[in-house]
Amino acid sequence: MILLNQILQGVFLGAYYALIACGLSFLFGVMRIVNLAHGSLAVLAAFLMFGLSDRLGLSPWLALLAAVPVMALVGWLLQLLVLERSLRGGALVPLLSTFGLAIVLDNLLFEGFGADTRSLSPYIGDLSFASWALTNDISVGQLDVLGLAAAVVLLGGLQMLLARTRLGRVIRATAEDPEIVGLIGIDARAVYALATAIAMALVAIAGAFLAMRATFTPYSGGAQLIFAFETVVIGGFGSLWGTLAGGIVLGVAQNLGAYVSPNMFLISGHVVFLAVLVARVWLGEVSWRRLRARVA
Amino acid sequence: MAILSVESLDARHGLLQAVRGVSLSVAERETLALVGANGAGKTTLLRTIAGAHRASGGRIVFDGADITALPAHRRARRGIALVPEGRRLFAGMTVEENLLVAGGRGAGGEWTLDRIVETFPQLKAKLKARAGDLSGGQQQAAAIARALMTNPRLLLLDEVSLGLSPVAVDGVYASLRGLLGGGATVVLVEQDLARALRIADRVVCLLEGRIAYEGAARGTTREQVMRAYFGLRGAAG
Amino acid sequence: MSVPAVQRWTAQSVAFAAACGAGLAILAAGPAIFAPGTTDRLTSLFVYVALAAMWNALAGYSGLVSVGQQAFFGLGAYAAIRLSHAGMPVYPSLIAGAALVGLLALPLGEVMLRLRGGEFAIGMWVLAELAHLLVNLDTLVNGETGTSLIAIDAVSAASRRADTYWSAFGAMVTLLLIVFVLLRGGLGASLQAIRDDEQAAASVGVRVLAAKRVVFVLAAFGCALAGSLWLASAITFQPRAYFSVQWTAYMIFMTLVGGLGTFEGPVLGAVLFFAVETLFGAAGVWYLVGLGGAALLFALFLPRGIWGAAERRLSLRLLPVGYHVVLPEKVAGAD
Repeated sequence: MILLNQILQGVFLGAYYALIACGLSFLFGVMRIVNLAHGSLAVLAAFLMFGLSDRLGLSPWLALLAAVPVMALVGWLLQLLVLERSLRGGALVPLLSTFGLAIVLDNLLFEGFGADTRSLSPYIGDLSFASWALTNDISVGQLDVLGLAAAVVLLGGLQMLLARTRLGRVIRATAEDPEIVGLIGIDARAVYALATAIAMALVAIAGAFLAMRATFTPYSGGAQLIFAFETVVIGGFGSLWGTLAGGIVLGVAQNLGAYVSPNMFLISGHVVFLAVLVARVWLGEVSWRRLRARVA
Repeated sequence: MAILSVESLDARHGLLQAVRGVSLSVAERETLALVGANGAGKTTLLRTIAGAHRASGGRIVFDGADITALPAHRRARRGIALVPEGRRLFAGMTVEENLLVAGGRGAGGEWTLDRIVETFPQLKAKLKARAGDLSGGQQQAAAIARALMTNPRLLLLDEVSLGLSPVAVDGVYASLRGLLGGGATVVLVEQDLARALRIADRVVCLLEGRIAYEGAARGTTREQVMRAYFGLRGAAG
Repeated sequence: MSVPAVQRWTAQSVAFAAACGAGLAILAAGPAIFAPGTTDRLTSLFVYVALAAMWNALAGYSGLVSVGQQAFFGLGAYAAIRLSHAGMPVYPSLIAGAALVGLLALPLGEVMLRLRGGEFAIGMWVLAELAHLLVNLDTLVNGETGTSLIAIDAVSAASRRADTYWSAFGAMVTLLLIVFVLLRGGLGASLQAIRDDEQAAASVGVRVLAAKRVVFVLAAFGCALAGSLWLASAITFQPRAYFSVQWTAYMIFMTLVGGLGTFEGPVLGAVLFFAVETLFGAAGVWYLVGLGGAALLFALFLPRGIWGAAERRLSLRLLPVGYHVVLPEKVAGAD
């Protein structure tokens, strides 16, 4: 039963990973940029909400409501000031500039908030530990379920936005061919700015769950980036539902590792990630995609 | 009435001067054929007019306004549509999505999805197909259709016959016939001189970035154009 | 009519090489002429130069941005600890440890080098995290508490300082020489081609994976050697300090500011970093903000770095890594 509980916890953890990963995946899908500052931006959002709750006494949910548009604005500025120029510089520049940005963000947060570990769980009252009992031995946390619901809703919403709406078509066309899209009257730069804003709004929500489920420090960004990245690689870079699957695989792997020994929590996650990479290399790119298409 | 007026246009490709001091004008409802050898500057000229390429000198006046400094997407909104060399459809999207993403700019245009399907019957069955899976001829039709969905005042066609079988080319031009006769303003690049002279009102031949010949299609012989094409003496324009 | 000649050395580069030689000779005398504090600091500088040269070989020459070289830095130190603990004399264990890590890089490269761009970057970071976690499991290391290079305590401080200095100096010069020789040869041309357009390079027969493998293993060895030398200087081994991503931040700063893709750039960058660290290192967090901010600004506005921009502007080619064409003298009145 403990094992089953661990797996269940892994699924909920995976839902969080999917949340933090979808912004990274979306931005890459539209602009072909791997944003190395992604984790740090999630931590920025978490601190923003923490600040609003702690200093101004706002309810975390109101803080989230405020944080989303603020992060969207941050995203818009990010595109305008950093990503736009980086794209023109060649393949290496986006990685170098976003890494530099991550270092700046991490350390500015440290300067502003200090080294203390923070969390929003004291501010959400009962929600942080309330649970529903499924059976005598198994219970699920309410916050966990909320997280899973959020992941499904956001991923599904993103999927629908891209597949069914006019804006989604515009984004997809720009992602495919930013040069040609200008010829039919679409401003690629504006689309990129919007996509970055959307990605940052997603990051804000992920940051909220990071803060509520767990703790964070100014230097938590690196770990969050790694989890997000591992999720996307395991699940596949193109597919949004794959992101959820990838997150769940990662979360469950980590929890199973922890079941064996607490030391193994992170190690098993990394090992599974590497195993997926090795499998991809071994099978070759084409058969890998075919295999995934059959599974997904 | 000249809808498009190009004045001493210069355009560079890296260090190479692709377009040198080209001046021409296109009247409303006119079909202008742009011919010339590979590398003569035809594609660069079209791309520069559409804004996909930056001019290094000269002016472009469209509908009375100087658009030289405008980015491509603004020019498209003003009514210039370029069907680029190589089609460049959004391969991962369906044909219908390719058309929809170009249209919908309101202002009650004459081109709707229905009219497109009428004009390009080969697309009717392919609307829900992935654009990248279409044959060359179908892709060309789709690319032209996509440009038309923006309800352009000026249509620029760059080598629509490139890479297509003769049958496919005929098919494309058959669809265009209605267009060309029906009052659209078109500038098209065409390698096939005979066809160019047949369908156009005027012909301009480029050689090494400059205009080597210019004249009404009706009064022009193939020999005249070919002399300009190859840069032989006696090709006064 | 005389034919244009292709040359490697110019008058400029001969002069510069001579100046470098003189400088190196002075540095080699190091411990004999410098104060102990200076000797220690210069040892650090040599490690920085090595790290910068290695990161530049990866990113500047092969287009591989790795956010995980700290994996090898830490593993190199760890290997030295283990080997020395097993009885190997201290200084040989530094090199042997690095060599072992270099060997480890072979199978790692098989997987990692198939990744591109951001995938490779973060993938290497994951590798570093995993290495950190695994090393922590070793009871000898005792988790984050760490351990030390105990064997080196047996040597007198002055002797240790001098030996470490010369080892670091030798390592730096050797690594720079290896990079220099490789770049002058066929590998350099292959890498240039790969950097410009990988697909095109492959289509003309450049063995892309093989070229990358060489650089990957070299960079792993170089970073591992840097790590073991750092250990010899610092003596203590706390995994967190060695496996920290901050080392990548330092490497990025050095190569970006110095000049990505040039030979001299990393050296310049390391010297600048050394100066900045000496002057501002105590400023704590703001120092790091400055490093990150500088990297960001250089990436956006001056990606070629100081040396790269100077090379462009002044047509400077001080060390003969490339080729240039010498046109024949024009003959008057000829056609």
